[in-house]
Amino acid sequence: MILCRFCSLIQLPILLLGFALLSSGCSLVYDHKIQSNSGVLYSDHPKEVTTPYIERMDWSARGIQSYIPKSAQDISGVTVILSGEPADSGAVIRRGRPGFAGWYNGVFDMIWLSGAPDEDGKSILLELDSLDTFQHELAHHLTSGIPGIQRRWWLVEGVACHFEGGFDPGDGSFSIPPFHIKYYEKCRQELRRRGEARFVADLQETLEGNYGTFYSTDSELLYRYALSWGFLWHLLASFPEEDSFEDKIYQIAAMPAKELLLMTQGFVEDLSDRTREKLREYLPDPRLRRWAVSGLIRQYRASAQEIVDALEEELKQNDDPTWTWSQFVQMIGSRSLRWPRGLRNEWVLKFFDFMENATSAQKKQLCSEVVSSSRSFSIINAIVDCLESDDADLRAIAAKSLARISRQKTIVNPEFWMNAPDSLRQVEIDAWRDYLNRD
Amino acid sequence: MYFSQYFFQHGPSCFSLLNRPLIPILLVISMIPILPSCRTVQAPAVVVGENSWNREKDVVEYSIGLEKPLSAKGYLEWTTAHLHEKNLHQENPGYPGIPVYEVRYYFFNNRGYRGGYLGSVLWRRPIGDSEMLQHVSTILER
Repeated sequence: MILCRFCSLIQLPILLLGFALLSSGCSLVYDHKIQSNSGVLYSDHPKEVTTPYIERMDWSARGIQSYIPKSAQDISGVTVILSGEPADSGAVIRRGRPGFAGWYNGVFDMIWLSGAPDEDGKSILLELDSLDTFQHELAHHLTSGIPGIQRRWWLVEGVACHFEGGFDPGDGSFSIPPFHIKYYEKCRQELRRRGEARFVADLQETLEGNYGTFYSTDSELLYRYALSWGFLWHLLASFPEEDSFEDKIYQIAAMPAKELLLMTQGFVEDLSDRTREKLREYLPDPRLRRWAVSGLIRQYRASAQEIVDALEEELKQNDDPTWTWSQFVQMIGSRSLRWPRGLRNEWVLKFFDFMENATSAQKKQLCSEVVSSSRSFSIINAIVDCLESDDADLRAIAAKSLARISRQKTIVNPEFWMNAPDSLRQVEIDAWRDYLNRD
Repeated sequence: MYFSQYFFQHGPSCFSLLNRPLIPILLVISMIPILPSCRTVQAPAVVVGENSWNREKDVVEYSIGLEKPLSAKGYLEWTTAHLHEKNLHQENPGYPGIPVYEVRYYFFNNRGYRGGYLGSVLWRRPIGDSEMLQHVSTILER
């Protein structure tokens, strides 16, 4: 009885605290509350971090809902908690702990994301992979109403991984790629490593597994996700193309486990093509070209000629060339592409021509995407020119890019490039010109 | 009066009187096995090597060899003292006249034959406030 009284004494403040937090919508704990069409976001992070999440939330929620209009119509808004130490906060980060983590709770309709700053003091939350993980968690929320999906963990994760790959084909819409590059490669890698018999056995275990077997081993989680995505991808392809995604997923969710197990064999055959070869197939397709180009640039020994041809098509068909040139900037810094003789220099000259007349916004984006590699040195003249811009932000971004690609020491303090007197900045620009003309 | 006589005369309530001197003594005795490990954290940093260079004109890097790893607080305190000692808030050792924007400390364990990376501490001058460098992050290796 004493124990009960003690417990009730402890529970009361906890309950009161919980009630206060819920009734205040977590605004007692977090500094910022941002309301959007798709939900609400709480965070201590600055606007530079929260804005990409709000934009991604609205864009991908609209996109995912368009694929599952019936299931998503009654889904309520989501609560997103963007946790973790803000950059520049004097954080203590211990290596070995996950740098970034995402989690969805269906009971509270809540997504929790946490990310620490990296060694440069930049928040890991701003990395593209972190935003994709957010899209994965948001897909969990929006697909939770699909009948028959509940507690079938391979299907829950498979559908979330399917929507995680959603991308913008260039017109601002939300498009699902023909396959998810990361999970496709993981499936192929594990198939090679483990052999077909073990791979199929793992797939069957994943399909039949409960919550514990699916999520218990952290080191196997990416493999389980890849298997879940891969098998769903295989099943979706077996339906007539004209069927909607929602109809297909309803039928898959209604399939009994025995019927699913019979369909595992054909999956291995679907994994026979190399990623690079599969991506090449989609280069001529205007709606998939961007996706195929971004994927191919990261492939080992991909042909720069084929990518450049696709970029030329993109330049012809799109009014805004920024995306195309930002892909070129990444190609220039890449060590894995195969460049035919002369093509690289030809396109470097075209890039210089573009930069001469580019807007400040375009130059800022291109400078910030310069890859930290000595190969990017070939476009250094265009970046040094940006130091003379009237746009203070562009000067600061250009100086940071120069520090990434050159051994020539410079001043990186943005305050200097934004506010120092012209004469002082000119001394630094002259030093760069002397360095580039030293031979 | 002995403790046993007092105990039998007054019962367990005698503890209220005896508690006062006994509890601190018992606490000190019970802490004896833990104290040596506390000393490791409290001991001042023993620097066995220091190297510095300018990564950029306004970015200074220090490689610090330590005899033993420090706690997160220890690294922060050591770098705070080092910044003041070298006057890095106001002076740039490599490029006089150019204020330091960033100071990066990399700590290594130099004990024995095998050195090991312990962690890093980053200080940066905040935008708009040019007086003092500010602690950005401490990253500790496991």
